[in-house]
Amino acid sequence: MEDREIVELYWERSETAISETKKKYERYCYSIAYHILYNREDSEECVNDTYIRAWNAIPPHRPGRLSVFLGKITRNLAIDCYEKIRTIKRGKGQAELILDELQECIPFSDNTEKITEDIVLKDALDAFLSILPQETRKLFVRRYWYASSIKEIAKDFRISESKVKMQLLRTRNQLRVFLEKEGIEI
Amino acid sequence: MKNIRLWKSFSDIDESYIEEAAPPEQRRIKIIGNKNAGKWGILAASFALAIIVGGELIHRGEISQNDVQYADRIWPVKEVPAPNGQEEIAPERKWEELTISEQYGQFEFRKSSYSTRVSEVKREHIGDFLENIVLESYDEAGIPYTKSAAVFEIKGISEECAVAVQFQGTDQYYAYVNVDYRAENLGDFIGDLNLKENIQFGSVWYHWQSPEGDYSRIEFVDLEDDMVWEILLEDTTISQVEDTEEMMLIDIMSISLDIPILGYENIGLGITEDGYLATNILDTGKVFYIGEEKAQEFVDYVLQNCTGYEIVYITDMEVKE
Repeated sequence: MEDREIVELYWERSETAISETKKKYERYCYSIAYHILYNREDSEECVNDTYIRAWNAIPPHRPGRLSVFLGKITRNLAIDCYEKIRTIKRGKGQAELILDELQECIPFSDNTEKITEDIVLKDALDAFLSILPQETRKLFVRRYWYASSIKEIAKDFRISESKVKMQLLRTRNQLRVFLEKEGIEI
Repeated sequence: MKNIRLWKSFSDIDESYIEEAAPPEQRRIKIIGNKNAGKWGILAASFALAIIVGGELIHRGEISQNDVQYADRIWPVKEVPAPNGQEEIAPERKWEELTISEQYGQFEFRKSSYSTRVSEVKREHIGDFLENIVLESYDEAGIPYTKSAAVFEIKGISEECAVAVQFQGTDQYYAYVNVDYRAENLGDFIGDLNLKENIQFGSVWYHWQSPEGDYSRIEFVDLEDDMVWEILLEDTTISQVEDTEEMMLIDIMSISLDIPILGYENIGLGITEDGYLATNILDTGKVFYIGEEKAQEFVDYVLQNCTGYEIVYITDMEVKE
């Protein structure tokens, strides 16, 4: 079923919307959650919650790209879930690694009170991504949006794992410099 | 936590960036929705004949071959079912669901770390007894377990590369490899693993860029093993590259290979344009510098002598239609 037809089902308040969403995007959403949580039960719960969130959001929302819309919900739910469980046990998935890597992107600051608003940070990230070469951007987004492992990225981009690591390292450094220049405080 | 805030902020980046970076399994979903678009993206758009032929192939929905012409290259198209992306993210299994060699995945032996290959080694390949050991592991709840086992040589393979482990009370032997193994030179690497006897070469994979800039994956199927030995593995004196962590290894060609005795299937031997030979045998990268001339000689040999097919992945839905 086409995405626009599924979205129509949501607008008609037909419960078929959920089953069609599940049929088409369950694996996709599960993959996003699992990369972050590395736990089957938690990932399944995030995916099931994704359907509920989508049901509550459409209408009034009418997503242009249903896959991305659902993926965002799953991603946010998985990160929230990760935050809850990380104090209990250390995750085995990509989350710990990604957070360690992103620590390198935090601009140096001695001003802890001035925190940039979410919307400004989002615009800065978009601006940064827009100036990257397409392949570099795709690789960076695969790592930090989809939480794909270095191995998976290397395989899909058909480059060595060491090149993926090197490219990510350079891009993270560029991001830190960019955020510092923009005066972004996180 | 600042890094969590930054990570969360990525959620709202421009949707086009998210879509363009989607993993292959998600991109394939798009192909189902618009079958020709997926195919046309792979083929060079300026070759009308090729596009029509390719479209017909997909419409028929069968695995078949047809000629596609790219400038001075002609490779038949081979349509193959797309791999199931779900397989790559198999759910975590509980301790009791694991095989014994998965439960005890690694151990220290003679100052090196050995990791399980999960695969069994046949009794006829078992060599001399080496040592009794006790393996330690933890289940998902952090409860510790121990298991006694005997370590044996695998016939023809140096114990510095791999050993067989028989757990107490069982009949099977499991392969474990030394992920820290380093060879002095290519000759030692070949000899220690007895690669002349144990390696089986498969297809050669080539990442070819058309004049229009599109990338295609070409599989060459009739590689002569002797040519690999003569061109790539002939000079046994070359040293293993010491520090590969910062290296940019971009394969121009890679050879798929199996080492059945250690349970390896479809791993790789890559050749880079700047003359490096790289492999993931024994689970960690091993790199040797063979020189640009040798690398080019091998690429020329394959392009001029082997039969190639352009690989186009199709989804289950396309196969059934």
